[in-house]
Amino acid sequence: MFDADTHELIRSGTISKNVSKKKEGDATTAKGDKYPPNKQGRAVAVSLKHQHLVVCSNFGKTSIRSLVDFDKKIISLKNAKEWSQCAAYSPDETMLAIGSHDCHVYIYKIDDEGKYSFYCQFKGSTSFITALDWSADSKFIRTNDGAHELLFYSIEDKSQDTHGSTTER
Amino acid sequence: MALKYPRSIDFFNNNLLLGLRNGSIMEIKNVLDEKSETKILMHSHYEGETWGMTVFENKFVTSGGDN
Repeated sequence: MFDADTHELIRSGTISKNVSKKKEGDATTAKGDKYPPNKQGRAVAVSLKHQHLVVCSNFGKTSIRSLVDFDKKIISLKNAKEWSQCAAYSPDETMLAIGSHDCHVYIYKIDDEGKYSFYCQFKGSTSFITALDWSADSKFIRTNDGAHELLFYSIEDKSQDTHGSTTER
Repeated sequence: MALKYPRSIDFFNNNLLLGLRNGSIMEIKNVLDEKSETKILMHSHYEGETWGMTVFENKFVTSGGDN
């Protein structure tokens, strides 16, 4: 974590202290690097309300950490089968969306005590998720994927909104 | 953090300016005197690629291939 005004490092943490892990189908970008995939960071997101930091590793695990101590892990989310390239909290900070290379988006609900529970999974994409956004009212998400498809999903209905580009204007 | 050796160096008015391999920039003031002062002008980290960044308040968090 850096301060944008003073350019100073405020805090840092270690992604994994575990021994090297490798599995079939490692991220193509992970090859030839000094650190193994479980020690390479991918997506990050911050929730100020819960004081949480989300870090997704190239190995496929997503860990929720304390924003005050990056090495203090609160929970590990392991639903995604491959590494996750994007992570975003909803604007009201009650939900967390994880977009994975396994073509799925995973939505987690966060209660007032900061406990995470799996809410639903969106399987509309035929390729890996490259980016995702929340709507301002936290009711919809929009994703882009490796097939260049822009898809919309309704959180309340737990389903894809196939008319999203028209209805969510 | 690894890779903290200098990549480029400049000396001017008894001050030393260093650019480090990990991207950090540091300055050593009054380097020839007994009391020198080391200051890091910009912190950085580097190994592999930078993949994640998020911004909040006036801070930002980055993640990359350097554990």
